[in-house]
Amino acid sequence: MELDQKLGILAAAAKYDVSCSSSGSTRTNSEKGLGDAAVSGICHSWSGDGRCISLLKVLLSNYCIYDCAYCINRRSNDIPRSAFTVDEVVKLTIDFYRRNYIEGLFLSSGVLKNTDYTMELMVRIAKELRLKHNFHGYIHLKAIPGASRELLRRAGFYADRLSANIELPSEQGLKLLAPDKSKENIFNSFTYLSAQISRYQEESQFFSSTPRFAPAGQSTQMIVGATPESDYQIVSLAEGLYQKFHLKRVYYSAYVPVNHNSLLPALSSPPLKRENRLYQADWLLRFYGFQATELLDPREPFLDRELDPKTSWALRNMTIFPVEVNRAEYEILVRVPGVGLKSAKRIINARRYGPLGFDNLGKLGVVLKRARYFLTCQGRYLERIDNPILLRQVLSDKERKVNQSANEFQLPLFEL
Amino acid sequence: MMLYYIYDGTFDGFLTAVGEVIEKGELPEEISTEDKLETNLFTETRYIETDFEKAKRLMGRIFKKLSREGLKSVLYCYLSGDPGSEIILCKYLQKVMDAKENIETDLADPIVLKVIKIREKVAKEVHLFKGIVRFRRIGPDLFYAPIEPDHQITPLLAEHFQKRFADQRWFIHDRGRNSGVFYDGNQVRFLKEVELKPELEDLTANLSCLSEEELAWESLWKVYFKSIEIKERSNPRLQKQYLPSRYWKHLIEDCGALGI
Repeated sequence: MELDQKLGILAAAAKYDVSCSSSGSTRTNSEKGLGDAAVSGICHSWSGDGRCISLLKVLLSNYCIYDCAYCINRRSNDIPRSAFTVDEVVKLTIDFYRRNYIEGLFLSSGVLKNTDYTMELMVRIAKELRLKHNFHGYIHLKAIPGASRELLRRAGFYADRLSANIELPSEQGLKLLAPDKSKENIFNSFTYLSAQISRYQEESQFFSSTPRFAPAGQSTQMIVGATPESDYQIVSLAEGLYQKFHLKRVYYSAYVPVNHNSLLPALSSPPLKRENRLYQADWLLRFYGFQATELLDPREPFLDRELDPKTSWALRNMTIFPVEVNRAEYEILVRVPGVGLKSAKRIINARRYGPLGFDNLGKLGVVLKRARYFLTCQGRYLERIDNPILLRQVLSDKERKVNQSANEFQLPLFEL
Repeated sequence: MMLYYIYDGTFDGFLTAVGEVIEKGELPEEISTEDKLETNLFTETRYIETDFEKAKRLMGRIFKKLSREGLKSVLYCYLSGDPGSEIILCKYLQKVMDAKENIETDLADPIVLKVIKIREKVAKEVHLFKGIVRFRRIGPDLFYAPIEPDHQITPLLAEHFQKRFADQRWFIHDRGRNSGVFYDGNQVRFLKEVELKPELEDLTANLSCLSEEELAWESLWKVYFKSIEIKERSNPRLQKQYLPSRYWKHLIEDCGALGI
């Protein structure tokens, strides 16, 4: 098969993996090698679905011995199959990189023969890139669940990031739809890798010769909407993963119905709105100091479709408000609907020179449309509605208007 | 009468003009290069002779007043090339010199806020271009990337690409300003008034001057770009929000029919 055909098949087979992040690593170029890894991550293009393209994201092979119900590459699907050679992946990575098409490689694979055989091939590709080609760009390797520790360990020395996909937010879901994968295998790889990552991080503080071990950490992904788990289960699971295994990212992937199967729900389109709300909640966990139980609980297990999770939280906690802009601490400011991390920092900076008014806030990036009901400037409201039910009505109306005009093309992730 | 200062378009020239403003205590309507200036009956123009010593002295004083971040704002704002950015920056520097303490984070001040907003706009474009500069191999060991950014960002891209492509020779060419940065395998050089071989003037119309191998890589990239899209999630508006169509011209991949 020609290389372009292979690439077409094996890129399309990898596209349902959401992660394309190239951030978090600090690998630098040495001895006139090729590439370095920018800590902030760089997008190189955006595909027609609006997703960022940062890495060459391909499967080594879409032949797979597993038969997971949700997966396009499942054994029982009749689809074109192919596999790259080690050389082909190496060459594609290097030559795409040289032309600045990509930040690096994200390599995953269907399971060929057995997990170790597959993992071994993937590790060999990363090793060749690093050692033979002096490549310092970003490498993200999928840790195939069930692969031996020795292979995972070797993978960690060459890769910037490792990930193992949890796939479904509950063990029952996994048993039902991915009977060949087990929760134990996935969690064992998290446990082992997070211990290694922190060990090498700690050592590197004392010895500069300590080798890098997956410096950009671990991530995972779960499919949303293929099984009946609630947002509460999903967000609590994510919180647990961040706390226990120090994962850098949990990705949520709205289920795209690629297979027809009685085990799967019949959806007309992927639940993108739900996915977006989950990302907003995830952001609140990671950057805004929220806990999962503040956003959701077993009695209200789903995120509000109408309002973003921070605004709904605020409406349930009206006693905390109003917050005085000129006095409130950063941790409180970022909890105000319409105030993001950046605008909160700007407020803290600017108010040192004198008290701020509402006209300043708008210019500093505060979304007054939402924030006005929760903030005072020197004791004064811009607009006051105390009744949470009425306020909810007003805020949802505003949100609906925005969505109509924007045709729901993207809800803001930032400046919640 | 409206007073316009005219300078030679160099940073030293600009600093000389700012020095004049501070010394004379007069504030011109605009500080501008001659080609960008629109004069009329009511304008009075004054040519500012670049004075390197004066510029250096002023820079020394600015260094004492601002942090690294503040200096970065000054540089980025200068490189924005936005109409009126010179006079905003001049007012900013006046304020900086007048104040006892460092005022660079006083965002309630409209001039400080303006400078920061311009800086953020330029920084955003720099970050975008770290991703969307596309090199084409035009010789055995020479890569060429034409770009058309809004702001004068090539000086801000040089270090990034020097670190990244330390083992190849490359040239990033700002087509609009006809200037660029060339890396010869050892160091970078900034070039002005570049003269290109005619076939490089419009590469898209002269694809035959690229090697077959190069065209094969470009076609592989296009295949990849198309294959990675999830059709069920098609969202061209979101794509355009991240990558506005004015930047598509020099990309290799086809982001969609232009003009949608």
